[in-house]
Amino acid sequence: MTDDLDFEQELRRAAELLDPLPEGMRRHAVEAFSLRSLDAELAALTFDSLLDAPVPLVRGVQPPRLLTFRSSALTIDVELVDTGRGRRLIGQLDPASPAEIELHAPDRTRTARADDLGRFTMDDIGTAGPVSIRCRVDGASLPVVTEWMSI
Amino acid sequence: MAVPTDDTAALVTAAAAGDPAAWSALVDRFSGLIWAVARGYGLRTADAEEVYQTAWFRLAQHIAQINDPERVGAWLATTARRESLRLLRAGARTSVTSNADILDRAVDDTPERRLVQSEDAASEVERARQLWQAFQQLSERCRELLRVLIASPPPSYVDVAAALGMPIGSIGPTRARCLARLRELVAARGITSGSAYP
Repeated sequence: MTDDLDFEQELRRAAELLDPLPEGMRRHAVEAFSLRSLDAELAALTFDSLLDAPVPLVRGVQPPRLLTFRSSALTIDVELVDTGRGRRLIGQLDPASPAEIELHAPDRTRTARADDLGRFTMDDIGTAGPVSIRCRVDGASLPVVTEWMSI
Repeated sequence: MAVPTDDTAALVTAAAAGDPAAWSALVDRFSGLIWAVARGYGLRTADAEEVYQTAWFRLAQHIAQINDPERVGAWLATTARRESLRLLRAGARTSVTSNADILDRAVDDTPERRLVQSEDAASEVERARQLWQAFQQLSERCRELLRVLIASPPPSYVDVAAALGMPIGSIGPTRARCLARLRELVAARGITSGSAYP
């Protein structure tokens, strides 16, 4: 029905006027291209407790968030804990090995070391925005990066 | 009105080979869709921006491994949908209307703006505002579908289906039903509508 098409177009115009993509967002999207890692293996998200094992929310208490990322040779398990003064990230590499760890957000990076048992921790990681973990195991030729996601 | 799919595939292939202009073209083509998905699910500005960023950052990671370059729109729409649901599950609050100050902005003209703006433009904005308010009264399901359908540029039904997790065959009938309902809401407010914009 052309009436429906016209009406839809009128709505489209209203959305463009009243609910457009905010200023500056397009530039972030363009920048994402230059920030991509050319030489890194991607670790896909294979488990997210938020979606795969939801726990009923007890008032005021957030259960720990558990995430698993897998690449061909490395699994990264992540636990996010609300300490009451911020969030702590606890990571575990499998196979267990020492490594350089970077937590990337679009505008900042934090670093940590995984110990001989493949464990690492970061405190006060914040709550906003997507993140990606970059992990270079000592002696490995290629780093592993996790899929960008909201934590 | 759908975007030519072989064009999209060529852009994806070029971007995968490192062409930043191809990437920018993809951003122009699909930004509206991603934004519409996040807003369709009712996410507030900051959360919708997070969905938008996540989708593009994730595509940058995957661009060289996209199995079906011509379906990147659906890939982005699915990513936006999953991230929106993730945020909602994590407790992101929804907003029935777009930001209240967006609605007020159209009314809150400065004297300078009133001098510069033609009468036509001012009444167009006012009608859009009324139409948008009527839109907020639709059911959640209709708001979700229509908000994605009215993205700019207009999305293909393949992309709409991915955005909402619904079968393509359902889109047409649901769209018709929701537009009819919106016409009723618009009529009840006494707004004239249905006329095409030039």
